[in-house]
Amino acid sequence: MKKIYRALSRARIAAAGAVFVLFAFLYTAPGPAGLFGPAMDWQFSPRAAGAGFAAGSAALFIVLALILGRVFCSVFCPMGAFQELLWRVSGRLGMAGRKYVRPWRLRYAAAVLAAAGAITLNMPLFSVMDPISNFGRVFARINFSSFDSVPGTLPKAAVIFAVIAVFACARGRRFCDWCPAGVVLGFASHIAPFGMKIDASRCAACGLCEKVCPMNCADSAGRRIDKDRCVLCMECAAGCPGAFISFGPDAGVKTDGEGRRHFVKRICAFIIGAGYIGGRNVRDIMRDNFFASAASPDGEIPARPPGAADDGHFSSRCIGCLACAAVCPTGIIRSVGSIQPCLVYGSGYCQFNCVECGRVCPTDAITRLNAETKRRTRVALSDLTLPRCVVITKSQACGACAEVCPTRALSMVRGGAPGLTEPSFDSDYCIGCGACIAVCPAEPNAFALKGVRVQSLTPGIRELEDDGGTTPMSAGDDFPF
Amino acid sequence: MDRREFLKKTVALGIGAGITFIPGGLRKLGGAASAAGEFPDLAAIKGGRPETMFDAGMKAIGGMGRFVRPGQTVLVKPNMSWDVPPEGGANTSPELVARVIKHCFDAGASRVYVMDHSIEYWENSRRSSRIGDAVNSSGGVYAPSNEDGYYQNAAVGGNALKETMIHETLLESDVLISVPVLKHHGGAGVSISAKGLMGCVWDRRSYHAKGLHRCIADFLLVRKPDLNVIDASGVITRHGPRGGSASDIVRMESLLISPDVVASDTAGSMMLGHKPGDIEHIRLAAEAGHGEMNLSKLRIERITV
Repeated sequence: MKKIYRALSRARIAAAGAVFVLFAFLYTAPGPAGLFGPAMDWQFSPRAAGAGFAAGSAALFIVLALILGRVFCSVFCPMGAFQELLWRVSGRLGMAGRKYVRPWRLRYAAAVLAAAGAITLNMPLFSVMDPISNFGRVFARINFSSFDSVPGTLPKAAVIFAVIAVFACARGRRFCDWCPAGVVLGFASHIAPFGMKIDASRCAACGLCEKVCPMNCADSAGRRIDKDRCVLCMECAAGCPGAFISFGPDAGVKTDGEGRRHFVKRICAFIIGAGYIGGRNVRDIMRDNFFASAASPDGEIPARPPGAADDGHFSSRCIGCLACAAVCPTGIIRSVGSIQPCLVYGSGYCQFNCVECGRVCPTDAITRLNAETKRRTRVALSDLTLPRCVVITKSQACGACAEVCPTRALSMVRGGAPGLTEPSFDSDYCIGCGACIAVCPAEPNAFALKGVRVQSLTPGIRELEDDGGTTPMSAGDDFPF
Repeated sequence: MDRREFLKKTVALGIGAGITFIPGGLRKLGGAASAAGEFPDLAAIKGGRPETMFDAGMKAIGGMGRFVRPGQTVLVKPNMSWDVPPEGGANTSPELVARVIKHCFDAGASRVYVMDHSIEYWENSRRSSRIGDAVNSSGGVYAPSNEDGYYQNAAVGGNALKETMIHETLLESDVLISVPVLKHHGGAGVSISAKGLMGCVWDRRSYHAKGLHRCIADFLLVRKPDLNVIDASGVITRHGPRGGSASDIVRMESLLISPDVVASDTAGSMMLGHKPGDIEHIRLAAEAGHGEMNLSKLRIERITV
């Protein structure tokens, strides 16, 4: 039997390690990656009902936890694997505390906050301890050669990394105690009919199980394993010298008693669980009937990635995992201020045919657009201040903006000094990609962009009138020289 | 190290550095001298696929061996800035690029680079233009150009453009072959060979800030193409350079080949309906002595395939 547990635990470590390497690679390597979308489908995050397989994986993991235990946490969660990696390394160095850790009671405060976020559709609150979000905040686009990451996120990433690393190195997977997904799955695994158990009649309380448990949830003196925290890594069963620990039918082990705290935890688990698997319909009903004005009603709003639909849609779904920021080929999706990213124009611009951000978004905050719709989706609106244009101020040829404008909202018309052309702007066709502001050489820039509250569809590419200039040669003509 | 030793070493290093520069220069001088007078200054071909027109034109103009010596490295510089398929007219035909590379290897080139500092995301432009595949299948090296690390600051010494960051393959290559697509340009008037060389620099925006026409002409002080091959199959004749409307494209089914950048650009601009001297950067380049704008002074060979 022990051999089976050892094989299972090793296979689990290999799988979790692969998940960690995969996500670390996907997040740190800038630019599109085809595997990113499918990988995100297997993360435990608030799904959109009806968005294919993505709708079901959170529910699937809850069902798995209700029957077996926290399989998601042990195999699929890169944040879990990340902490475990740190814990194992520090353990080798003799730094990790390898004994049973009684969970902090304060962790319920995190669950209450997440539940409050789920009810009020406040996604930054809901996802403050979300595993994939925090993993993304640490790893998104981090460039180890220059120690840079998604601009604007490095201080946040450093703080998050430091906290996780200190706890993981010293005491194992402590982030998991606070994780809202862990609260939901822990509650499910708590009432599961199966689990790890110690044969109390034979156990000598040698303490080896405490040393090998990455969750620090094996209590050797108490001859029990905290069932709601156990992730079924099988390390204890593989390590127990007498093979007194086994996986099997088990319904009776309780950890926190049946008091008021347990009740709070149960309520929170239900609310957070509903937040994770409630899907688009529940959130839309909540938003439309109770929190219509939750997203800043006045003032300027940032431009969101194409497919964010409208301000309410995006802000009630985005958990700030920064997968979109990691895949954006030009790196203009950034986390500035809020954890929910926006488009920051200037250094690059939204590529006309690119739909990568919608492909990887795990929560449908950025809906998956086809390229045709994307090319007509307005995310912001540009504004041209012609007197700043170098054609006017310096009387020299330019045309950089019209050159890059993919919808021809900008075109060059005769104007400025004789022989020159100046830009002419038709805002009906502007999709707010930011190409114009990125290439404009004027100081100060002749363009400014403002986010739109609702992403609307433009007519497409503008058909321009004949500019009445020259008569080119045609196929049958002789060369004009 | 005392002062005398220091001076000796400095002089030795200087001579060494000087010597390393001479062979390239000598080769180039020799090439120009042997070619004079024997061949047409400009070949204008029409009526076929770009690659077959190129074969015919190169035969007339003396073959690639005139421009590429065995063992030399070559930079082929097409237009591939845009995330647009070849029929859109914004990028050079991939078949033509492949054929130019083949001629270079047939002439004994040791390595052929292909680069363009793409305007839209390089991966999308590489794929859509289909030039990435064309380069791979013909044995060329698709040189990455999406990061400033691939560029080196170099003196230009022009009136407008004093210095700029230039792609390493241009600085490294013995031969530069410019393979632009002929098209209208909303700012520069036309985009042909001289304008296309803007794809060899990192900072495009400075051109627009310092004066587009003057910078385009100034860049020729750094390097003039040894050969200009102008793809005029489907030509964006208005609202260029990215295109977007099929009604702006005229099928000219032509190709121009010339060692003279000014002559080839003048001829191309005339095909778009301009008179010589209309386009400021071509006029400036001619005034600076980079080539001949008066086509009546040149030997032009017209070929129909």
